[in-house]
Amino acid sequence: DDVSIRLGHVLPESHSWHVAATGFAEEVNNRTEGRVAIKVFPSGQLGSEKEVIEGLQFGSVQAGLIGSGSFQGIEPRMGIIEMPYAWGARDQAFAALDGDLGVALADMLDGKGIKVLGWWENGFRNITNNVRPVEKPEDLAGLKIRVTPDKVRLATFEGLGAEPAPLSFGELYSALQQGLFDAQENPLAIIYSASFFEVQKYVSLSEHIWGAATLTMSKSVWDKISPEDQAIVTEAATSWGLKQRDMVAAANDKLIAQLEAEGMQFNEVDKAAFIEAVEPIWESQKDVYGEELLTILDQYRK
Amino acid sequence: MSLALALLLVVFVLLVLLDAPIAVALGLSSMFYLLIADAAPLIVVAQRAVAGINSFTLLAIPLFLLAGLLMVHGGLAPRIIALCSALIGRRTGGLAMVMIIACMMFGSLSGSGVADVVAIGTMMLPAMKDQGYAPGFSASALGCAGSLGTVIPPSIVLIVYGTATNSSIGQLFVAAIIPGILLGLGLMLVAWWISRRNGWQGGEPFSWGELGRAAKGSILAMLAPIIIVGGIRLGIFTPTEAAGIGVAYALFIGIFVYRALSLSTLMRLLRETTEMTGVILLVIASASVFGWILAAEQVPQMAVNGITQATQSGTVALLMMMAVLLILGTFMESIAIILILAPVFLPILGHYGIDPVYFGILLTINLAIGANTPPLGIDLMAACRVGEIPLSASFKYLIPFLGVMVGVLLLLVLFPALITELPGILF
Amino acid sequence: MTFGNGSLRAAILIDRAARWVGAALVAGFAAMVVYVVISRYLFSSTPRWAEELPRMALVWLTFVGAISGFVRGTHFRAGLLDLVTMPAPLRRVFAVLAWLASFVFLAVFIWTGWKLTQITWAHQTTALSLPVGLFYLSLPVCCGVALLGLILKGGRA
Ligand code: NA
Ligand code: NA
Repeated sequence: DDVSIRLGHVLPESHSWHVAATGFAEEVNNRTEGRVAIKVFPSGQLGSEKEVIEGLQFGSVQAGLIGSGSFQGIEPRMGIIEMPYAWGARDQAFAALDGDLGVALADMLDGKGIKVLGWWENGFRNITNNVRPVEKPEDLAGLKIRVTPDKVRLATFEGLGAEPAPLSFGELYSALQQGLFDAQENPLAIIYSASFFEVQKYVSLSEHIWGAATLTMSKSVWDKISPEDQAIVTEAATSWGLKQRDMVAAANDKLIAQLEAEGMQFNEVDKAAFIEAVEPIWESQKDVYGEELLTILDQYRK
Repeated sequence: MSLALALLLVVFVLLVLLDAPIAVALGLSSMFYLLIADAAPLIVVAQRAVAGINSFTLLAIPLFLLAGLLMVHGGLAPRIIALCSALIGRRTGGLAMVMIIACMMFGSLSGSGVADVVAIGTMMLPAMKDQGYAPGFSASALGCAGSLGTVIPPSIVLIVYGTATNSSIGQLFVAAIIPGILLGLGLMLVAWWISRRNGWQGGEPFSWGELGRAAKGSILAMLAPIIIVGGIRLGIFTPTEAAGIGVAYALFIGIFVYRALSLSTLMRLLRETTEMTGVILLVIASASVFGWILAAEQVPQMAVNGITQATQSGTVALLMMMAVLLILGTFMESIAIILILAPVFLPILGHYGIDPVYFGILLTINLAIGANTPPLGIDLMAACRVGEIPLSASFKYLIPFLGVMVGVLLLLVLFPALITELPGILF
Repeated sequence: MTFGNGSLRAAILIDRAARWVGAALVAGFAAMVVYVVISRYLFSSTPRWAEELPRMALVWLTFVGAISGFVRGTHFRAGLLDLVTMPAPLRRVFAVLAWLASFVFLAVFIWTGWKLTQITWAHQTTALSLPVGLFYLSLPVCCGVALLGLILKGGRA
């Protein structure tokens, strides 16, 4: 029987997530001759990431490209990918996710009815603000920064001495414009697509968090696909994942140039000082992730 | 369009005609669709209903509702009306103009044009009748001014639009100020002109003493809207927080300064807020289910394809969307219309590069006009019910009022800067 | 539908209870929102519950308030039937159909809301690690009470 699949994600059509997801869908549709028909729904049309995850579990959405951090609600250990300064470089993260760490995490989601098809990229998050270049943690003192309402994220920025508070993304632009917040943190692609360059001056390349994008399918749907077609889906997920990672890398330099052209001022940060400042967060999260997972992670961090 | 989608719309329309609650019509037609089309498990209705209202921004709705009630019952609104009456009540068309100002200042805090028309009409219409204003005139002025409340900030209709299209509520509020004032002035001008031709005037006789007393008494009341809109504009707080501050301010003034609020009144207003919130947000919850089905069946894409094939011009697309709004606005509450159409219109706006904030203002004005367009016009019908006159008695006076609203609308289409640029400079 | 005065009184009681619970919720999150603003300016800190807790209160308030709307018959309607003159029995038939529509609507929300509550009870919210099911629980609870009120009220004004 033909399987028809709605794949939801929350980013705009211009983002590499959408470009690659559309390519993935087309390749699967073609190579399976329509036996697996995937339609991509961008911009949160099918719901927020958490709602898509629920939908994968009860069957209203069949596939999703979802930020790895959003799985913490159903599997707290997924938060390990987005721990502050978990990765010195993106290659470390790819090695870990394509290796043992990815397998361990995928197994956990498997138990929750979600099949991981591939690890794609969301990228490093950077801090923008309107007050001063942030070079060391002390520069964050007193800055009102908007973060996603995530425990670890809030604790991280409290630990760094900033004044973090949650706010919906839709209100963020005007909140920055009117000075309700001084700062925010997001990947460069989002800083650009949301026009934050109009209301923020400094971009500090803190790279404090690296996020994966998880290409997932509802397990009950996956089980309906024949083994031959499953192989095609996995292959396409992997090859488009590699292309998507390249798109992120290529976009990065271009985005810096574009944002500079819009008048933003970039600076590097003293990473060693930041890494030291977030050490207590790692200590506090130890029990959440457990010895075993932290050991796997450590193999790839060296 | 698939047969199942057509059935979705037919069931929805049938339920609306049957006078089932709009929320029930939206929800039940969606459930029906899910059963026959096998598009997703039925359980998705529960998820989308909660997702539709699980928003910090929407908290502004009950808070503004409560702030509005506290201002009316805590003596703030009556003092502002008294000030207006002392200023212009005696003049030609004075009471009509006071009524329009009252609608501008306190309208739309309830989120429903109909509710505003009833609340303000009950206060003003008897006095106007005593002074010889024709009831048909008063009702058409009230209907149009009551709808105007949905344009002027703080407006629950704009909050709902902002949430549905993910645009900033703060920007919408600021963008609505100049169009709202233009519309209000236009309506007042028409009221004055008709009153002059008919010789309608009078209210309380003018006295400096009375004006002084009214001005002194209303200073603190006048500060309330300034704190709310100014606080958002200056970035002191978000729209939701502004609503909370509005509640705190009205409560403080109502209890300690004007001494008009007792504990039992406060409790009653909290209970009224509960019911009004339930009524408004249940529509949002159900519309979220309905909207999810439209999205999952790619109706927005179909709409974009249909319109882009019909025209290359953004202006023509804009006019087409406005025509749809005008027609729907005659028989449905603005909030329900926005929730049904926002997901369909948003990609069209994106395609033609139309600013969603700009469109949001045009949309609310269209709905305000639609709500007063015979033969239906729900705000006009409510105004006539309060005035205890047949709908037809208002038609004679209606044309100039609607004319001036359409005129302002055209002005805004021709000069978008009135919405997009000027507010940023002035406020 | 023949119901005694007792059932009408019970429906009124349900309405009253819902409005009092809602009043407490409104007062609660109005206080929370004001406290958050004060806390931000006076203590330079935003409490962790600042966003999540008021949101949960709003979801509950919506469905609690909707109970009152169903019992009192105040939910938004198009009101087009009022414009047409028709024989009383026909009007009665339409009223029963509209009542049935509300009945089925609420019944489906009770059932699907309960199923979703069970599925998401183990999921955690981002800020406070509360069960996500707490949001969805509002559906079966409030729609259940609303359905009861709707039945007790029958077709009466
Ligand atoms: Na208003
Ligand atoms: Na309307």
